[in-house]
Amino acid sequence: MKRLFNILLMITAMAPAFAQTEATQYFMNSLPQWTTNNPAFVPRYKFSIGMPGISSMSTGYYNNGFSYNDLITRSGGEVKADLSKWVKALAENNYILTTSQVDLLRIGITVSPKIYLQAYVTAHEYARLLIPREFASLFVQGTAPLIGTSASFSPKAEGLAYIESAAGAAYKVDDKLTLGARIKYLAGLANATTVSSMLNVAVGSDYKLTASGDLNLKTSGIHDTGQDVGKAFSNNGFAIDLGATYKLTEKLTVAASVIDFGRITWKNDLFSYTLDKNTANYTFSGIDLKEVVNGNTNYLDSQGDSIRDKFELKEGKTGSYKTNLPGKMYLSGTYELMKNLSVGALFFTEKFQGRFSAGGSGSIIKHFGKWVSTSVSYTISNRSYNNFGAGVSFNLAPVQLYLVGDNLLNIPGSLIAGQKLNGYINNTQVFNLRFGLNFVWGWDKGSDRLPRNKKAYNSNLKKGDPSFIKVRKSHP
Amino acid sequence: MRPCSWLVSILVVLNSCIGDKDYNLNSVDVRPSIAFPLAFGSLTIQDFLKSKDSVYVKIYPDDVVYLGYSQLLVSEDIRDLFSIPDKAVNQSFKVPAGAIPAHTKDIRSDSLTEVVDFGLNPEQLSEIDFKSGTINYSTTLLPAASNLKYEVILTSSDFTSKTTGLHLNLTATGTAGSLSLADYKVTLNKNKFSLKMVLVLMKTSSPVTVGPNTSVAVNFSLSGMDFNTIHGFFGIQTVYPPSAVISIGAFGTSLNSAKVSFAQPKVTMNVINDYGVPCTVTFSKIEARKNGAQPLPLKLSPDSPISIAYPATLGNSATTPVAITNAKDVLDFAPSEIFYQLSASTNQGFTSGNNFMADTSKMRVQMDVEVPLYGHASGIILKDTAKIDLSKLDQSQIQKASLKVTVINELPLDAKIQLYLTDAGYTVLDSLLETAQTSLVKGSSVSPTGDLETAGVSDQLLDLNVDRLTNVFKSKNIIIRAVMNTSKDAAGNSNDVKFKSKYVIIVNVGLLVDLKFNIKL
Repeated sequence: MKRLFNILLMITAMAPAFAQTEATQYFMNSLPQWTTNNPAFVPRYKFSIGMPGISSMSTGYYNNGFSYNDLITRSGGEVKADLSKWVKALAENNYILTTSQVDLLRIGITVSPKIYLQAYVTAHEYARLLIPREFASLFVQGTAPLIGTSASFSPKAEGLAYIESAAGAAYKVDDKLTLGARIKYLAGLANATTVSSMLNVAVGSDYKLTASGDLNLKTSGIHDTGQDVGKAFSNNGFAIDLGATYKLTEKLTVAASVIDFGRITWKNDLFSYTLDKNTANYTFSGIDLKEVVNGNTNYLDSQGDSIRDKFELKEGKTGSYKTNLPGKMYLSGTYELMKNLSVGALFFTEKFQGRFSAGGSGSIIKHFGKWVSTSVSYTISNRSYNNFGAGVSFNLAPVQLYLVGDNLLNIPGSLIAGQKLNGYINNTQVFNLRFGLNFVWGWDKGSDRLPRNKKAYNSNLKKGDPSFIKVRKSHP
Repeated sequence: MRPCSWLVSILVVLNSCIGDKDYNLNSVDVRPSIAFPLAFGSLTIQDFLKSKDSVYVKIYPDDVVYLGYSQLLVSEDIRDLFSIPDKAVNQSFKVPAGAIPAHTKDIRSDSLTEVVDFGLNPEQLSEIDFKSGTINYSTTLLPAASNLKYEVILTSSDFTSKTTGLHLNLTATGTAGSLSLADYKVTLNKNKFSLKMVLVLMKTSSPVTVGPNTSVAVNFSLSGMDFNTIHGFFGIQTVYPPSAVISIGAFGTSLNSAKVSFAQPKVTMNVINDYGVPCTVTFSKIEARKNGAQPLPLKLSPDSPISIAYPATLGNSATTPVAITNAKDVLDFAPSEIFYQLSASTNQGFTSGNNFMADTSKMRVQMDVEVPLYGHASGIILKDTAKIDLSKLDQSQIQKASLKVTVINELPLDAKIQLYLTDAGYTVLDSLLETAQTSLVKGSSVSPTGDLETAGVSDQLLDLNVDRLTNVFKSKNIIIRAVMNTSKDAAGNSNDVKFKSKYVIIVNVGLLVDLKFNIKL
């Protein structure tokens, strides 16, 4: 049990986010990290370096079930947790997800007008807890709502920590199409995976309680926390990212990408925690009057022992296993309203361990010359509809400072309304923040500068090459 | 500025913008509604009868359950009447004064025969087969300085060795001797046997001078005698054994205030006699008893005093049946015990006879009581007490509570059940159920012959009065009291019903309770 507690603790501690769906950052093309969501993206800076620990740190919290306000009630100056109110607010399946990401090294360079190369090493953590509403309801509302019926639920816990070493390139096929690909070597640090989880509770019309369980939780790198760090890197795997952009018109560009298509094979410090469904079942019918009549005073104790034996988690070593990364897919479109001002729309999905989630976002992107780039966004994600994001990068080449997040614009509103952030925090179901410092060189002035560069660009092409650019003024 | 400093600065600023009043929770409010099984069981009538008396619960071939009590009381009091007293014989041979010339052979000098009487009264025994006892014998020459050589031969043809068939023959030569009687039996003539003593002068090669007043004293005694068997006329004797009780405990006190009618009870009594002696037993008292009621005398047939048959030969028994003519009244009385006191007399009206007994002989009184659970009853009370202590729980947590009671009852017995809450001194604080809610068990319906037709079904959700419920938290004991009646027919008549072993009562009790917890943090 203590071990299980440690696992849950570890999963919870695997907090801050790696770019789950950072919708605002998706359109921040001033950042070298812009490529994260599509390897075909080519950042505005031709050369960039990210130093360990400072170039990018991100954290994220996603809760599709409830906000803090759904849990509490205020009355007479007192704040109390109202669990009945909380249960009513829950979704059918409530995912509480925390992610984090830290760049350890990042290099990006445009080696030719057609090719952009990139390489980076990033540490990721991802933790997710699934709380079915009926599961929470059982503990909060009791067994009475289930009289004459039964309920099945599958609470799950997932935790993942790994280091990703990636190398990729974007290749401009022509002036419309750019393709990108990235391959990643994955070194797993720790993992907890719920292979199967099922808890059935039935309440008979005579109130008899029947419970059965089935659980298979596998872990790697958690049981023996004092082991040699080097052993942790025996877990490895590969993943690829694929992406493309296509310029439908001079002003409208669409993009699509598949990210983190791969998996890790876990081999180190492997343990499983199981409940056998063939034994983990019990019907409690109350006190057996026959035993009472027969004077069996140890009856209840023996029943308690029996339940404990049936539902005791079995811990044991297990064989290697594989887990997929949380795979993501992005579809977006960007329309250039005028020079340095664009609007974008994004549809994104994530699939991980049986959950398919989706969201959407709209953004306005504005570059104030090459010095300041900004983005504001509105995102719908995780049953949360009040996410107004913002991002800004100060491009003081060779230094670039940036801050971007999906639910930041509500902060000023909260401060204005109540002089405090409480209103913001209490309503938040989605929060992510990425910030850092990049070293950047060579601002690409973009399509608005292409006429002046066309000679240089076209000089590398043969006549009749389909990539040959015929420039016309985009901003008369 | 390094990003970390940046971050720290931002966090400090943000932290200052967070008011902690929202995050200092005062309490946690939760209002679960719990449906919970309390008890279940599939019980037969055998389960309701006290487990300690389960040995008495039996089943007839037609599956009707009955309580069968069979008790065998052993009396050894008649045998205790007979004990054989120690007996001693002292005789003396006078040896005339003078000179006895040398002689080469032993000379039988004198002899005498003693008739020894055990002195028993009123017994007149004709034979004793000894189990134990000792013969001690010795001779003494007086005066002691005499140098006469002699021996005394003690014989009795009444004593016979059980192993050799030889008669008693002892030789005393001046020193003391002894003999175990365990190997002997003796034939008596009205408690008497003969003992012959012969004085023998031993051969001598020189003359012996016998002084005046010389004699040989003979001592013969029997002591510590017990018998295997005795025969003879035992006389007229009376013994008063202690009173005895046959417990009938299966009903406990549950029938004390009940009106019970058993349809076919049986009570029989047999006196089994090993003694070969005519006996008369007088029951000075034989009655059914229970607490809180006057005893009910049993009527016997034949009337007391009762002549008890006796066996014709040793080792056999004779049985004398005694009928209880008011057995139904006795069982309807629902006694907790049957008490009796008797006296036994031997040879009443006889002046002679050939009686016999062994030391293992007994007179036994066996009483057989069969109580078929076939009849009708009302006001049967079952009561039990359980300790509870919920004082650590806050009763305000209970908003509403209901009992879900489902009973499928094949037993022809309905029950009103009440739960009484008491303090530590068993003073009743309250009852848990409203009077109208107590009819929890509905009896099955039965045919005119008392057999099961359809089970009684009761399925109720009983709302518990919250005010009464609060007393649960003050209680230290809960008394469960059930008042039961056998099923009645459609016209409301109490017909005789049968309780069969296969009849079950299926009980499921659940609790539905709305709780409100306000946990202060």
